[in-house]
Amino acid sequence: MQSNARIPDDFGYGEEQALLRREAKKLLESSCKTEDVRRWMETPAGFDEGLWARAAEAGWLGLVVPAAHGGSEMSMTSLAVLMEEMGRVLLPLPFFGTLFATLVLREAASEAERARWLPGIAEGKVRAAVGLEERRGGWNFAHVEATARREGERILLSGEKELVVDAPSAALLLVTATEPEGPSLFALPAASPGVTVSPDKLVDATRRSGAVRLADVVVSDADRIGEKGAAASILGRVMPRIWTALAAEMVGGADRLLGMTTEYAKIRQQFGRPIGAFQAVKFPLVDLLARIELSRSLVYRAAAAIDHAPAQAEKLARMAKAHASDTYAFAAAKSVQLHGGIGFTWECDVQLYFKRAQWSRAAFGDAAHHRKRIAEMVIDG
Amino acid sequence: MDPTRDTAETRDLRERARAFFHDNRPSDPGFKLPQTFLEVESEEQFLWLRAWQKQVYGAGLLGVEWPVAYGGKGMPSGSQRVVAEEMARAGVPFLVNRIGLDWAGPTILAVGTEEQKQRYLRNILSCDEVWCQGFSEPGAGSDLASLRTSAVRSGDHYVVNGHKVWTTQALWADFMILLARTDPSAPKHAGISYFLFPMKSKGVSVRPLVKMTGEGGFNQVLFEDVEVPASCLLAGEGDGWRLAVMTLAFERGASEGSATGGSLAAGGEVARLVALAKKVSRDGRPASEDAVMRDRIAELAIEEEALLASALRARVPGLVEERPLALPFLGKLVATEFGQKAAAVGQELEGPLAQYAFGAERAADGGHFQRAYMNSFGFTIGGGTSEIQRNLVGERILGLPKST
Repeated sequence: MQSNARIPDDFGYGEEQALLRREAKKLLESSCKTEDVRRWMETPAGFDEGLWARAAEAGWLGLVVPAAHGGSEMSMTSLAVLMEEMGRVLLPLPFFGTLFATLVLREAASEAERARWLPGIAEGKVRAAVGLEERRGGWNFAHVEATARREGERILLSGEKELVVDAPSAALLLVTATEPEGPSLFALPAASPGVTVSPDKLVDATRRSGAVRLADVVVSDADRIGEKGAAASILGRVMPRIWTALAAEMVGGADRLLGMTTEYAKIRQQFGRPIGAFQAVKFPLVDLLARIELSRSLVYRAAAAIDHAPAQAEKLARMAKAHASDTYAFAAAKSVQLHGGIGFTWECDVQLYFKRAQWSRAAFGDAAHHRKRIAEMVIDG
Repeated sequence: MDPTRDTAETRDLRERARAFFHDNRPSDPGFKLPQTFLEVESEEQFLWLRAWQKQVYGAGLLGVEWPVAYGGKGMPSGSQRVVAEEMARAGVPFLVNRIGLDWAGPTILAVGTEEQKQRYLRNILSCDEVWCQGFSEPGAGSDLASLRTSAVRSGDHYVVNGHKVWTTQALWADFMILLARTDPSAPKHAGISYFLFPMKSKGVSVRPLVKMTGEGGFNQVLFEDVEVPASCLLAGEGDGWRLAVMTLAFERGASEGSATGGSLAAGGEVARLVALAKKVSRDGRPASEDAVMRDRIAELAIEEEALLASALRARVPGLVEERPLALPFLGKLVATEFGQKAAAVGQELEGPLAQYAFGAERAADGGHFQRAYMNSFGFTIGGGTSEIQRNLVGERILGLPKST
């Protein structure tokens, strides 16, 4: 069904977004250099509390929090700008999990739950994570084997979620569990009895995630986000934001790889000239540029649709994630290859982005997964 | 392809265009129509297509961004794209005077004298005068600046001698945008001038060439002591290379101002593939149910949307801040390679039926994609090959050293 809502010609990109980009660049490029990233990724927590505090000060944690709860309630286009800049520097903060939880709470939580969690999130005092994926369901968030079993006034959650982004540092967990009415979403403190979070060893050492085991964790009706059995419809509205945000981050990372590899091609001399003069080197870089530019267009188009024409949001956001996944993978592969021997070393920063690309393409649906859904929309109508 | 992108200004234009193309869709002429302006091979086709362009212009749908003084409508940038989208959507025939509309016209508009603008522009829109392009030569393809056709000043005339090739529509053209060397002693880029050359002059001969599709459409043009008035010169002597680069930017859709609004955003390819996939079978079921074919279509749907989104993003300064010229420079490369890939997938969808030639009675979709695939190479080669485009983008946008 086609909505009559219109995506604005300027993509909803104005002075506010330009300012946000300038400030984000300034903060990130001074306080998140690759030597910092390398240092933080070797620590158990994987991030720096000082930088987290500065992100909170800059208002980034409250970026999508409603004004009533202490946030600045900015648009999806603004969020895409911030994510793109974060992706450029491989920002290793547990931002994504908290963002995800914020979006879910904002979308569907009761006023009491919002008031309970969102102000703390906006201030940077509460970190959160959303546990959806299970071993068998994978990226299909409607496939939920974890259960919510009623026992009088109490509800007992049992099951196992995996690859829960930013779970190891989260104080608040949102999880899906199935009730007789279908899968529902619940909010619970990570410190609740019966919750175990086991940190993952990920391909990308700048990211953290964990497996979350729920063994008869006690919650109540008040902890449910939205109606019973409403998880799929809530997530159906939230996921386009997640796909678009991640795609924006990926475009930022791919763009940085293009910059690094282009610069290297200008200075590295072989056969008496810079290797960038050889078309075998030049042409893949041009192809990468083309893909990045196309990915970026899809990201901002999806973001604008989310803000202004929700009927088109799911398709465009899936397109953005699918395209960015392929683009980042291509960027990573070409960057290692064109750097030659040095590109294959631990010392070369390309490896950090390469691994981020590997993680990102497999998170929240890879290109083939999204294309399958896009085919349904494009072919079956 | 998406009316929800319209502003109040363009909505009315879109509605008029949609109604016009719906009500005035030409009926089957009873002979084969060429697929693009590059394959017009008979006078019958040419006259029919000229009448169609006249009709579109008469309806006020052509040159809408050009000034009123020269036959246009003076509408804002982006308006012509709306008409182009409606044409693609309606699947109506193309506009035959493409070289006049998109290449010669915008160049004359940019640098012509008032007299030249008055003289040529209106007739380009109405198709009363058709244009061709005399850039390439047998020895000057990708290395265009090495061209050897000469124009020697003699009083108030130039005398032209030489040989041009791949000249689309030369058989019917009234004028040619001609690059010729006026100063053989100058460095190769500096000695070139740009002429608005009358094709009906004495000493011009046109010899048709046959393409790999078996169709005609382009030609060789020979010039033997052709005398043309000095007023045919556009801008000054020696300005030819600068103007050629300008024309090529229009041709590649890199600059705003073309009269047909054709650039990155065409649209409609995926819709055609989907319709085909539902008609043809693979393994006894519609190709539209085949998992691999579905993935191919989805991939193209993403790329098509990305091209459309890019055409729009290119107009938002804040979103192209870091590389303002990247999208314009990439336009021709990505759009023509997309078209080639779409045509290849079209044939793949057909399965065994892809063996039929265009026009075969038993072919699916009339063999459209077989011909479209062959013709797609005209676009990845003409107007600067994809390889030349990659060199340009690599050097101008990424700042990589020249490939010598």
